[in-house]
Amino acid sequence: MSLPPAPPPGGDEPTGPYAPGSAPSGPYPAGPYPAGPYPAGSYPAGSFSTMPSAAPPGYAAYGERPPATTYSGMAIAGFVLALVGILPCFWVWFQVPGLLGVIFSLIGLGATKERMRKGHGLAVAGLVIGIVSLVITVAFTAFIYSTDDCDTSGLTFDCSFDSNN
Amino acid sequence: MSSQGSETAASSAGLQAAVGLLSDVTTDTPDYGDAHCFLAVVLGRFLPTPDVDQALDQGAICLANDPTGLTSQLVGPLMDELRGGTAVTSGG
Repeated sequence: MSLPPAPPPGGDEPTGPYAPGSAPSGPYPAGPYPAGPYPAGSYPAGSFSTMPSAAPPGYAAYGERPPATTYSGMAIAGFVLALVGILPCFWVWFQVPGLLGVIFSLIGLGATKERMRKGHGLAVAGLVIGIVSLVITVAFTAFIYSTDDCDTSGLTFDCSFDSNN
Repeated sequence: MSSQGSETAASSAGLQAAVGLLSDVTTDTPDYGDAHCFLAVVLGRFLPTPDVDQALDQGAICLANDPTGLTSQLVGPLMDELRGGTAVTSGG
């Protein structure tokens, strides 16, 4: 008959992953647990994840699309040109940048469609602003050239509305 | 690659033309506040290298012209960012 092995010195404290000092959080009071061998806060935030990743850090896993990092220049240019176009939307010649804004935004929309580059919202905004400014300009120009109250010469006009009529 | 290069050149040219036209509008009609606001936003946010000084100048003129609430919400935070040196660059 043999005796069981003697417990290790230090009493009956358990060892392993559930040792008192390794409790991460929970409804346990903050007791006089000994500090672990690793200092708190020595790791950068976000360097751990709960799910293991098959891809090394900085690379997208197989089958995943890498995140877009740069803006589409076409989307930016289209948005800014459309902004220029809507400023004085009653100047006919000023609709050239508005029209260019629509074209650039359409190209930018295609470039950002698959989320390969950022700026999808800019492209949509540029497209909407450009189309709105074009519609307003066309309507206003049609009104100017159709009414008898406006004297048009070339691309300039001079209107004198009679309030009595 | 060449199509991407030409696309970049075209977008850069378009952006420069737009900035030039906005500058012309602010010069021709200095009391037109929205033009100053738009130019400030473009100079501070959409250029590959933001022109901080010009953007701050145009933003100050914009805010001095008492813009609408939406525009002031657009320009005010941008001015704070530019003064703090944390301009958002758009990159390529």
